[in-house]
Amino acid sequence: MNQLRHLAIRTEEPEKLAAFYIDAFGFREVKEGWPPAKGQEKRSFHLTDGYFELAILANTPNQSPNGLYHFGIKIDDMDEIARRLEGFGKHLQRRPNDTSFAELRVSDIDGNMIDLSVHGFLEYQPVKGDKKED
Amino acid sequence: MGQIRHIVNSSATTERLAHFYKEVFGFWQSRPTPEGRRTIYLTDGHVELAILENTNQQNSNGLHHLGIQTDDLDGEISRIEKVQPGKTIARPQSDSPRETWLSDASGNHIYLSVDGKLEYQPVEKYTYRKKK
Repeated sequence: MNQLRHLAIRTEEPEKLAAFYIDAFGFREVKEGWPPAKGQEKRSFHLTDGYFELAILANTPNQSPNGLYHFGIKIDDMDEIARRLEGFGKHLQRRPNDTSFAELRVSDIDGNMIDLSVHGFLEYQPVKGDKKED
Repeated sequence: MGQIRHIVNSSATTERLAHFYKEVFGFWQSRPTPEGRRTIYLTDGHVELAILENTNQQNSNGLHHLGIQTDDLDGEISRIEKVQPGKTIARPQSDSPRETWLSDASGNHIYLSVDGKLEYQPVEKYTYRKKK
């Protein structure tokens, strides 16, 4: 079954926004100690309510508008989803190998970006070559 | 503790976009479209994806707001006001408030509710799943 499991928000103040969701709603950080992504001055945060993942993505310097950015669907069968998408003229785009949370991306027919993941948004794959082993 | 249970996409062509999510991801309609409206409520069974009517282009198309479900609306409002000193959240005008709107620390719109979005009458809940 395909599941809505991820929402990403872009902000110039990721620490402040993550603190809001942690303090106001009791969300927890999926994994602490992530370094800033390439080209970012600040680090991003991956929070969860226990089921759903909320990514607070650093937007420094501003690559795109701040605000709600994309959402993510955990899928069971990549080939089947690719086949269905082709019926709408859409093609899956593989993300770089070191993308930690979502292996694939596509846009819906309105142009909204969707991250797709077979391994799931909470069972992340560690970023290659970084130093965040437990 | 809040739970994200609702994501809203604004669209000028709601039927077309809902068709896409039903056909590609197998989502189904969680509750009926209100009379005279064109908003379509889909779900994967746990989280709702609302395709919000934007036929008159009152807003930008795209992600519009998120919905968080809580057990204790009043307590949640008080907690949020403590987190954001100086910011007051409008308390619903009701003896037993069930929902309100607020913005997060970056200004993103949040619909906060006690009932969530999937406890409505699930008239067509399994219609699309049975067709598969």
